Order: sequence, then C-alpha cells, then structure tokens
Amino acid sequence: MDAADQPRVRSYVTLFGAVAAAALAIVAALNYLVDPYLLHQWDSPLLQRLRPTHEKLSVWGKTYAVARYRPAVVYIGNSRTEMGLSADADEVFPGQSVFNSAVSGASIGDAMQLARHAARVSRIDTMVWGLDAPSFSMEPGSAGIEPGLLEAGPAFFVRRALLNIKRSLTLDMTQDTLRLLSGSYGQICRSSLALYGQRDQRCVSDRIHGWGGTAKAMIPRLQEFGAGAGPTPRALQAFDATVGELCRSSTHLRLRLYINPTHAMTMDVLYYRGRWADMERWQGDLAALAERYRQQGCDVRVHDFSGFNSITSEAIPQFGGGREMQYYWEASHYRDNVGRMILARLFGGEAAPDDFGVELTPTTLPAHQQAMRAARDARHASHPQQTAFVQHLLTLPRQQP
Amino acid sequence: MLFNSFSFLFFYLPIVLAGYFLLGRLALAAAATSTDTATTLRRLAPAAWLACASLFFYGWWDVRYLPLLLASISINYAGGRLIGASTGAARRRMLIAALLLNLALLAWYKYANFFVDSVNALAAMADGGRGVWPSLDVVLPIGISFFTFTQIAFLVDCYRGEVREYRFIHYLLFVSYFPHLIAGPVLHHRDMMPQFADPASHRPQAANFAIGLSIFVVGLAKKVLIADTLSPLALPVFATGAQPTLIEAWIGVLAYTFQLYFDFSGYSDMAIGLSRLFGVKLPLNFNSPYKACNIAEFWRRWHMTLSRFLRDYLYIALGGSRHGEARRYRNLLLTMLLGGLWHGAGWTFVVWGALHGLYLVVQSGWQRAFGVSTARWWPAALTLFAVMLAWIFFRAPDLVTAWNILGALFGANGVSLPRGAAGLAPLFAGWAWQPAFDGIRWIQLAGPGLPVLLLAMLLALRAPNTQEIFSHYQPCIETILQRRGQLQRWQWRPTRRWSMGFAALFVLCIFGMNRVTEFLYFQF
Repeated sequence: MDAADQPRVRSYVTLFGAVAAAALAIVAALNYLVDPYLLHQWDSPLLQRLRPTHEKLSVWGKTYAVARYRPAVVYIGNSRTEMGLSADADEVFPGQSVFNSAVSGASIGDAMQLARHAARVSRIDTMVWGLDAPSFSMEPGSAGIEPGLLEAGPAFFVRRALLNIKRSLTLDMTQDTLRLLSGSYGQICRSSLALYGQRDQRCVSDRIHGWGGTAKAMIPRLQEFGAGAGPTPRALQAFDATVGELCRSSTHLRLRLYINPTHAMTMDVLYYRGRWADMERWQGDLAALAERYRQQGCDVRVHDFSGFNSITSEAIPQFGGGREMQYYWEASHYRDNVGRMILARLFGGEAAPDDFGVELTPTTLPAHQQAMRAARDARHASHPQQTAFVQHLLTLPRQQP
Repeated sequence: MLFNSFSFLFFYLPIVLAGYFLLGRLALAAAATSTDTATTLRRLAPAAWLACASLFFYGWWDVRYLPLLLASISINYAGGRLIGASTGAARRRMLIAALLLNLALLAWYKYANFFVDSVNALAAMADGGRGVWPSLDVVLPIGISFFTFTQIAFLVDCYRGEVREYRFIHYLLFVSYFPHLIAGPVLHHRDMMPQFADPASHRPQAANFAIGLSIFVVGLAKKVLIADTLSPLALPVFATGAQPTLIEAWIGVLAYTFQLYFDFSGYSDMAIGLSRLFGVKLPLNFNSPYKACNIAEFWRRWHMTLSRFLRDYLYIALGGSRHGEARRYRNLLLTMLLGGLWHGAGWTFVVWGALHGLYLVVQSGWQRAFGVSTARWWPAALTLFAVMLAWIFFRAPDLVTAWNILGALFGANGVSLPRGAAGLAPLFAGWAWQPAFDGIRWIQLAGPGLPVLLLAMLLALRAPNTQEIFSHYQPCIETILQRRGQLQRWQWRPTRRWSMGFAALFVLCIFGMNRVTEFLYFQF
C-alpha cells in the first residue's frame, strides 16, 4: 500500500469502527431498554405487559428474578412443575415468599443447575422439586440455558448485565423489540414472572387450543414421555451430588422431592416400552438417597404421586372424558388444582385424596411398588381399550403436538 | 476462547493489541537511545507479550495442558539447538530422538485410545469376549497436531542446516502464536520468525488494520452466517442410525461439504486477518478448492499449508517420485493414509485418507494414459463429487453410518418426497415411478438452511475467494496469480463504500454470534 493510500486507509478504519460501534450501541440500548423477553425485570411495570403464548427465554427472566426476589420457598423442575405448582400458596407457606423457578424443557441436568443457582442467590428455606423418570438424564434439555447464565462466581448482577447486553445483540430480539414498539407483538397472556414463576393458564390453554385440543395433544405427549432417555445412572450420580451440595449450603433447608403425577397412561407407556423395571429401580434409588441424607441430618423427603390413583386415572377425552380434563392439560401436564393437592400432601393444608401421594422410604417402597403393579394390572384388565390405545400409539411414527 | 465469541472480540483482542503496540512503542524508543541489556529486553517485550497472550489463550481452553505445550516448545527448541550444534552421526541420532519424542507425544495423546479400542474390538471379534485392555480415556489436548507438526518441520530443517539463529522468545511465539495455534494454518519457521523479530511490525499501521479487519470480517461471516447455518442440515443426517433417504442424504452431504469449507476457510481467514492486525502475514491456506479440476489440484488448494507439509516432510522423505511409478503410487497412498490419520484417530479417517490416496493414483494413471483433460466442466464436477463422497467418511461417526449414507445417495434407503408434494403422484405415476410421500424427516425445509446452501455453493464455485478480493494488498505471504481483468469490481479498496459494507457485515455477524459454535477443525 503506497503513501497516498494512508489517509484513505485511516478514514476506512475510522468509518468501519464508527459505523459498527454506533449500530451495535443503538441496537443494544434499544433492546436493553425495551427488554421484550423480560431478561432483567423484577418489581417492574413491564412484568404486567401482555405477551405472545410462547414465552421466549423464560429461563433468563427467572434466573434474574430469583436473584432479585430472594424467595424463601422455591419450586424446581420442568414444565410439569412450572404449570402445576402455584406460587400463590399462602395457606401452605404463610407469610413466606414463594417463587416457581421451574422451566419448560429443563432436563434434570438443567434443573440441578437451577436449584444450585437458587440456593446461591437466594435464602431458600424450602425447595420443592418435581421429578420424573424419562427426563432424569443428563441429555441437554431445551430450556435454553446458555453458558454463563448459571455459573457460580462473584458479582452476579454485573456478569448478568454483560450477558444481557450480549443477548440483546441479536436479530430475533431486535425484531421482537420493533414488533413490540409497533404494537404487533402478540398480547395473549401474562408473563410467568407476573405470576411469580408459574405459567399463565391462559397461555397454556391457548397453546392447547392451537394444537387442536386436549385429545389431539394426547398421543404426541405420551410419545414424548416414552422417548425420554432417563433414568440414567449418570444423572442419579449428579443428582446425588447436587442434593449433597444443597444440604451443605444450608442447615435448615427443607428439600421436598416429588415424582410428578403424570397421567396413568404415561406409566403404561413406560411399561410397554420395557422401562418399568428401570423406573422401579429409580424410585428405590431416590428413596435410598433421601434416607441417607436424612441420616446425615438433612431434611430431605421424597413422595411419589405417579401411578394409578384417583387423580392420575382420570378419563381422557378419547375414552369418555370431557373435551377438557379436570386435572390435566394433557397426558403429562397437570393443572394447578393437582398442584395444590401435592403441596397439601407435602406440607399439610387442603385435603388431598388418600391414594394420592406416598412417601418413599426404604420401608414403604416394597409395598408401594407392589400396589402400583397390582393397580396397573387391574387397570389393564378393566380398561382394555385404553391399554390397546397406548400399545398402538407406541407403534406410530413420532408426532409433534 | 473462540474467535467468534464476545469475550475474544471485545476483551481479549483489544487488550492484546493495546499491550502489543504499547510495548512496541517503548521498544522502538529504547532502540533509538541505547543498546544495553535492558534495551534488548525491551526490544523483545512485544514478542514476549504476544507469546504470553497466546499461552493465556491456550490455557483458557484447558489450563492442564499448558505445561505440556510449554514442555514441548522448550524441549524442541533445545533439541533444535543441539541438532544444529552437532555433526555427523550424532546429528542424525539427535534428530531421530527428537522426532521420536514428538511422535510418541502425538501417539499417546491422539492415538492411544484408538489403538486400545481397536485391539479390544479385534479381541472381542476373535473370541466374542470383552476387551483385553482397559480403556485409557486420554483427553486430546487441543491443537496438538498443529504444534507437533510445526515443530517437526523445525527439527528437520535444523538437521538440514536451514535454520538460522533464533531467540527462544521468537520460537515460543512462533509455535504458540494464537491466531494459528488451535487450527492452523501450519506455519513454517522460515516464514514467521523473521516477521516476529522485525521492529516494523511493532508499530500500529492503519493499512494493516484496514486489511486485517476486513479479512477477519470475511472469515467471521463465512463461519457465523454460512457454516453455522448449514450445520443443522448436516447434523441429523450424519447421526448414528439416521438412515436418510435419497433427498435427505444429498442435502446432508452437500451441506457438510460446504459447511466444512466455509468453517475451515473462515477460520483461516480470521487467523490471517487477526495476524495482520499485529503486522504479521500468515501463509495462504485455501484457494477455492472446490473449483479444482482434479484431485491433485484440489490438494494444492485445500489446507495448503498441511499439503505442503505432507509433501515436503513425508512424501518427499518417502522417496517422492524418484524411484519409478510404482513407488510413487505407494508413496502417494502412504502420504494420504497418514494424512487421514493426522486428521483423527479412527477408521473413518483412515478410509478418507485411503480414498484420497486412491483418487490421486487413479488420476495419475488416467493422465498417463489419456493426458490432461481440457473439457470445461466435467473434470471439476467429477472432482467435487469424489471429494464429497470422501467427506462422508470424514464426517460419519463410524464406518457403518458412512456406508449407509453412501448407499442412501444412490437410493439404497429409498426415496421419500415431502408430504406436500403428494399432489404430484399422478405425474410421477405417468413416468412409472411411485415414490413415497412420507415427508423429509431430517431436513428442515422451511428454515434458512436450504437458501444458504445454494448461496454457499454459488460463492464457493463461482465467486472470487478472500485472497482474490484482497489481492492488490498482499493479504498473505504468497502471492496468488489471478487472471487479468477477472472480477475487477470485487477487488477490495479502502473506500468508504467498502468500509460501510464491511461494518454492516460485521454487525450482522455479531447478531448471529449468540449461538457460539466451535470450529470443526478444532478436533484435529
């Protein structure tokens, strides 16, 4: 490059730097201020803003909110817990702050990260953790947990601000900011943050309606449940370590683990996929784990709400049930009336049916598993059509809801 | 730390650049005033800073392997000095010992798992029992193939007496230089160390910034906007047990063919651009390889620095073409087989290397028999097809999957058309063809993948490459010859229009960078 080019080259570099810096700064500032996904909002009027059914990046909003809110009670898990457990639970946790930190699409690996994060950034007295066998694997979930989001370390809010700025430099967020400003962003339901972490029922209802109703959602949900890779030994090992870490983090922590009350048909799916023995072994592992930590002085208990009880055996629309079910959105997601019964069984309060929820201990386990097997066989005998329905759907190609 | 990450672009790079030129200014001022030891140290400070920054860059991946890298550099530097100082048989013995040490290091870290697994698999096949040796689970230190080959070349050149006196700090920087450390280009000490020692590179120059930034942005766009968008097309097709149908296989294999090119050449462009910011030119690594008209030409255009290394230090060392045709063919096959193994410890890489060796032998035999083809299009199309078939083995997780995908390209897994095309069934029936309309399972037809694949093919096969765009400003160490008058309007100039265009492209890349993905060549 000759000397005559030097001024041109300098202005080239200056212009490049100025244009790029200005464009990035404007976009980052706009997205940060409008914050269409509520990445960094708590105690803010923006939380009440209506939004589309699909709640994008909810894990970002929740991990930030839990650090700001610092609740005493936190729920951990995947979409089943997120939809089913209401944070409005004053009768169970009087005077205590409650936050539902469960996230849709979270694998057990994701949930463990969320639990550790909540314990780090808050003052947790009680943690309620929903589990199920198929998602109990270390396969990455679809919760959208990105590197850095849940990392331990000092200055959480500073690190988080940098991450938020980085996330704001994206096309999708810019498009949604512009849609929001122009009024074309969907306005269907409230953010889960407005409901202290629980998914707005309007969102769920709208989504189910979009899929064609509860009946249409049954087969894909049952197939999805059966396709999970868990339970795996590696996940159990990691889960054990996480429970140990939580127990060490606080001497007065109440940790309540519960197996989600997915519909009875989900148990049939596991049975016909040859996963029943794995599931029983996993129940036993959880019971033994809780017993071991109790002996070390940690208040850990595990309950099983799954199986074939008066709640989980509700008739589905295909076989005499109503268009909408009383206890379920579809096969794997229960409504918050079931959630209230879960909390009642775990902590006392409003009555739950006697057959709903059994504490798993090394002592109660054999009888519980024997009863579950008997109930399963009895159901197969008394509901041959439903049983055939499950067997048939497992032969079909995987459907998307 | 990846080049396409925020931490690299907005923290690491500005700090390293600022430190380098600050120390460079001090070094230049010191050089003008005195010549004592302190001044010498100050003169070396920019190179030392860059070497430390490079080691930090390497340690960021996995600090456990930093001592390994440092030990390798120190031992090889000492080995090179000793070889240079020895004569006769001792000199040869020293070289052999040093080479064995490097190869042993590579063998342990890169090939021990493969060897044990292969022995166990053979034992299991022989008696149906379990493996005879426990699994080693040795973790591959990132970039080991690159820094080992770089240093083997140094040792051999020390033996040949082609190495002049170098300072340790320049050698340390030559091996660990962060733009190339992880995935090449494979550098040669003869090209690099004089540049590191040149005080002119310690002074910030607007021209270097303009050219370096622009080349870097081209590489970033290749990676972020093209390669990463193609990845979802290829990923599910190459998964174990995917059993793709004809259309899925073709799209998946084509997507991988172009993903690999844009990923790796994008990385090389970024390395060249970054290095230019520091006033250091790197060698050219890609020159539109998919435009090649035969396999030999493909290897002169693809991963050119590795091809040169294999030619100079393996093929020629094996005898090259000096002992007749049969020996030449053997040497070609061996070179490509070992080249395949260099890329990865697995049978798929062995087959990939063997295929390319075979291609070279067939091409050579064909040219002997029929002469060089002057046809316009089919030699390039046939070359690309052969390369694409070989990439299946390069990418597939195992040989069974590779064979399955290969068969699928020719319809072995059947043909399935999108469900939406079922209305065309009567038309096909008229041609006595009744395909299934079971849908395309593994390819997302509605996403940006397919349009980007078409764009990628257009760019790779018809557009000028990075070095051609910047050819007026010597982007690399080598000068590439360009046909006169070709694509003049695509020649880069430091004008306002180009500046605005590159700034816009950079912003677009930043928008696409939220899904940070590793470079494919990091595994090698």
